[in-house]
Amino acid sequence: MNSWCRSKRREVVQEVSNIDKLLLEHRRWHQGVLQMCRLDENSAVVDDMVCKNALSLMTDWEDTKVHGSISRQDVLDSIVWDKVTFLQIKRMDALWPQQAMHLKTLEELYFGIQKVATMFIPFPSLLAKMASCKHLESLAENMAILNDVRGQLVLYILGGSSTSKICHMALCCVDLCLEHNIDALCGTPGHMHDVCLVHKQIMATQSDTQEVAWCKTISALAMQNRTQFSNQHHFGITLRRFRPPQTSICRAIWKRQVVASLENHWENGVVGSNGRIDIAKVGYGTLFPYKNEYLFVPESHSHFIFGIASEDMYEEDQLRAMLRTILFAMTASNVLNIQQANLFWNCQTDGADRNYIHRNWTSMESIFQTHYLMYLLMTVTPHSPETTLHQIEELWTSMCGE
Amino acid sequence: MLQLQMGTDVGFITRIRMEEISQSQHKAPFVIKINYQLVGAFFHKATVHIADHLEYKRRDMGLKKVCDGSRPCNWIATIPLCFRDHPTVHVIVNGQHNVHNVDTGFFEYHEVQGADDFCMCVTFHDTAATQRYRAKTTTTQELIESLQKQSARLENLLNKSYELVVPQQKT
Repeated sequence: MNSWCRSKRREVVQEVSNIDKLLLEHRRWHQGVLQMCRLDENSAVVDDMVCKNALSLMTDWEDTKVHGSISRQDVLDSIVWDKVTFLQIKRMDALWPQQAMHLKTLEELYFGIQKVATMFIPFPSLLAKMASCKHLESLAENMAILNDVRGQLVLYILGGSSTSKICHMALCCVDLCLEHNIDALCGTPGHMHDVCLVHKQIMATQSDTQEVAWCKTISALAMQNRTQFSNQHHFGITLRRFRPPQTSICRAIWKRQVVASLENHWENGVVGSNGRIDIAKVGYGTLFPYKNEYLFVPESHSHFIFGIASEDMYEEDQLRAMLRTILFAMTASNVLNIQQANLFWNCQTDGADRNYIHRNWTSMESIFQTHYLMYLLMTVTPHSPETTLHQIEELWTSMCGE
Repeated sequence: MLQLQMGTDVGFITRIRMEEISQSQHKAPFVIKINYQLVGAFFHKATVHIADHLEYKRRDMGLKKVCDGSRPCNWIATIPLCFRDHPTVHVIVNGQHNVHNVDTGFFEYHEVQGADDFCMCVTFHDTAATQRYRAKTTTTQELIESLQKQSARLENLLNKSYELVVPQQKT
């Protein structure tokens, strides 16, 4: 069994590594084509725009540039370098012969992606491998502890006569802490503050019952084991020495593999006082099991997103991560329901949702007044003034209080 | 999926060849379009179009006016082209059409704003036999868009693979 697990793990790691290599080749081709199609300061045509020896019939009273003396720098300074489309023959001649090779890369990439999605790493094998790497030892410990705590919590929820909201919030806190560790392992972007906001709500619950006290303890324990990193927004530093994928897509694939490994482990059940209980059957076998009911976890958080505008494979940017975190916390604290949260989340990308908000502005205005930060994050664009970004930063800092 | 990608690449090369054939059969005039706004002595919102092959925004600049004894020239752009193939060019400045002989090396004209007179100029550079322009901007843009579609296909493939295949495998 152990050697089976080991070989499974190696197979997945090998496959992910191969996809990473292919993605890098694909990215080089992608960037090569863009360089071929975009004017830049190294373009040969810029040299043709320089005038050194042309006739000059005019005089100049203070060394103003006239025709006959246009330097390369003058040309560079005169052009707005905003993705100017221009097919450059020399670059095309150098790149295009590699087209057949790129098609082969693409074919292997499509095949590899389809294959790796059918594979998973057995969770004990993953933990063992992590524990054997000194710099990943603490992550392995965190994940093992969080996995145990989660099992206890799920058993408690299943054994209870009524479903208490604080138990679900504690479960949410544990799942987020697990996800933070996975983000740290995989080098995927996470957001520390989402769990801070949920933990804050749990600790602020005013009740003396044993259940609330227990949930507070679990939440505090989860927070202690969320990750060893203290950096605010990005993770993944330690991964660099453990099979480091260089592309953001591959890091996201790697995260999927780790989540699949964990969920597969849960599907084997949790051992309770009456034997093994299949928690997957009762809906607790996935990370964030209740996300569709009342907790906002947007599509982009669980999907691969490639940015068209960035012309590169893309990860969620920090401002979107902030909005996601706020919507998440607002649904967790029942300020918003799922439909409203989705509406606000899609506002930037979906014209229909944007129009709906405009039509119903009066009824929504009160939410925006009390949650002005959410409003700013919904309406911010790359062209927004610096002052808006500063305002967001200030409001965010004061809200998180960290 | 792969066939679609190949289709796009082949389509791009075919379009370029068709453009070349069309160009050799019917030599289209070389048209340079320059559009801008003048506010006092300030030149802004300028765009330069070089035939169908290259268009870019030009940076704003303060203009120097013609004074007694001096005619400072306000340079807008230099246009590289083959003088032999295109001895005359069409220069359209803010909609005003001019036909010009390129062998002078420059095209100049005056803008009068109230009492001020500004001398503006566009220069030409002979690229001789070296070909600089091969595809239309629109054709090149289509290739860029095909890259973006390729990314979208990869995105779909990843999402569908993980949504459909992994749950099946796990059960």
